[in-house]
Amino acid sequence: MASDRRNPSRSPTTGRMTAEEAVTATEAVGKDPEMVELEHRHQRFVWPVTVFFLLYYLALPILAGVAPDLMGTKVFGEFTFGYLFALSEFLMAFVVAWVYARWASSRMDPLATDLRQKLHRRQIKEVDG
Amino acid sequence: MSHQTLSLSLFVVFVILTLGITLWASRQTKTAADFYSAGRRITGWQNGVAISGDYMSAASFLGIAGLISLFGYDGFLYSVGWLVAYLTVLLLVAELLRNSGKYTMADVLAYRMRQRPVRSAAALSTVGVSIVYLIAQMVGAGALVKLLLGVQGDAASILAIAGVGILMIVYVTFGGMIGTTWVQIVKAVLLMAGTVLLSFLVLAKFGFSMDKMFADAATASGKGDAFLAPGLRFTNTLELVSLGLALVLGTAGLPHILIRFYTVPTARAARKSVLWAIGIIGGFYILTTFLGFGAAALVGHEAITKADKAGNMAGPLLAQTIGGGEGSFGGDLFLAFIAAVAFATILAVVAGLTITASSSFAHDFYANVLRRGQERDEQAEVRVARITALVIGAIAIVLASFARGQNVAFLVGLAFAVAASANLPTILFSLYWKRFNTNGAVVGILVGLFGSLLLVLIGPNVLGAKGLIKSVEPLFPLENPGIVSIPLGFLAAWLGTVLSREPASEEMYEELRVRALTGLGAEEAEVAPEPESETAPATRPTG
Repeated sequence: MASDRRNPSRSPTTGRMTAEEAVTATEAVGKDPEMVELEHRHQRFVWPVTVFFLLYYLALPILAGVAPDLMGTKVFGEFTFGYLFALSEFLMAFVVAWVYARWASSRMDPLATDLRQKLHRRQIKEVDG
Repeated sequence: MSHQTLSLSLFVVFVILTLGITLWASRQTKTAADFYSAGRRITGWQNGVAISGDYMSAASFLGIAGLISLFGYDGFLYSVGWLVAYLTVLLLVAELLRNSGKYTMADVLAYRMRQRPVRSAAALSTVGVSIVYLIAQMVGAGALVKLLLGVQGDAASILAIAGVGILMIVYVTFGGMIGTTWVQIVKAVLLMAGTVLLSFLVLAKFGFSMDKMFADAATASGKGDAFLAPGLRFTNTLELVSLGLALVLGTAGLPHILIRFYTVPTARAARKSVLWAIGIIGGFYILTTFLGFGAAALVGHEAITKADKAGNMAGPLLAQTIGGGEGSFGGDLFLAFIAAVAFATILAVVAGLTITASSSFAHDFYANVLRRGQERDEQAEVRVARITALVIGAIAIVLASFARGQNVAFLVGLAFAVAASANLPTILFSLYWKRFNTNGAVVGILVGLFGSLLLVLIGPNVLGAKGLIKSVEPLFPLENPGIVSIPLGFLAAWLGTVLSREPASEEMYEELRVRALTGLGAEEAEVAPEPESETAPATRPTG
């Protein structure tokens, strides 16, 4: 049972830690207030943004289906509302990606690095003590 | 020199170049980690370019241009969906997956589950999705050769399909992930260069006025202003939303895209690679406007459908027209160049798909199911992966010979629906839902996989006036099953979970989250030598 459950590909990626050590270590980190905060921030950011971009995206096929006349309306020259709306989807994707990257590097990365370093210190202490 | 000779020579140059890369890569490939994930030594931007090369397939280059040239606005919907899909990858999957897996998609799914059932199901869906996708690419290759050699017979396209199949087997079995990555990078650069050049020349033809291009395309199409509005290809809102959902959710369930994130050393590098990919892929898809509307205006509906019913040859024909038309030296040269780019495009994607399917079979099914994950012999595992590449290549050659004559973008759209239904629910639940368990994962994958395939089989592509069997009415009204099969996959994964209890999976959820969000353990992958391998160089510690 135990050998079936243990992910055999895990211990190699954990580097010098054995699977058991990694489990103990992550359990300690899991209760860390910084980890709780990291988890909280992540959930609070990714789900609302996902809902936003999915709705914005789905507006395109829905409008194409229910309002083809609106989509075919020429806004200027030969540019239809539908084409401009499709282009705005590209812009939206670039902006969301950029915002996410900025958010992740300022709000997520420092916490993640901190947590990793904490664990390294804990390991060193265990070896010394 | 005829355009046949020209394009053949250009193509041979590309093949020699990529075989050189493969030879070099085979010397770098010493361990299983090298074969499966390029030793995690690919940098963020390199991986971003490689993802673009892995993603922009025959469907993007040949298929979308064809759809726009025949149906105008509706074809552009594919471009939008395939780009926005990367937001799903970026926000929900890329970094967490990079931190919690190693070689295959199943590594993440099986992290806190019982290994054998989950890996078996995941290997099945990985191979299934990859083969549907492969078929589409090889159909594109067949159509291309028919155009280039100017022959009508089926023998030529079957020969082309077989040639592509053999090359992809060579790339993968010898070059592994390192070779595949660099073939994809070279291809992405070639494809972008070709597309930018072609778009620029198209725009120049219209005196750099997009207005004039749109107007001429609308007139030449014979449809008038309807060509610039939705409705020529899709009229049913449900069909549109179904396709849209499949496109925007499918990418995050495509195994060949997901495993690219294992080739980078850190989660930050994974994030950076998606940003690069979004930039490159977004730029490319905006340019499909010029390829599609340009072909509609300059080549014309009749010439496009004459070369290929489904429109797949619009891009190459556009190049020929821009270069000076059929028979002129410029026309032949440019056609040859674009055709060679299209071949390169197909080969790189096909290599990425093949290494994904064979890695999954060897790592998930052979090593962890058949050998029960004991006495790990990674050399044997890689040997199995190489043999699998051969078998999958052969299967794809045979199946693709039967699927000729379909639009490539449309075929790939189906692969996206299967990926979104079978893989995405399990990936998201594994990463975000504590209660999720083995039962849910297996039921979710199987119901999503077979549900979506079944809906295609009883839908209008197979049954009814437009399908293969014309005497039977379609039992399911939509061409793309996404709107039904994706919720079905989520529902099955949820139901399978709540009907059973697996405390061990719930207990390990916290461990998975810590690891996925912080990179704990996984972050050191590049630092520590692989226990199984003696040859991995010890590198400078980071972080």
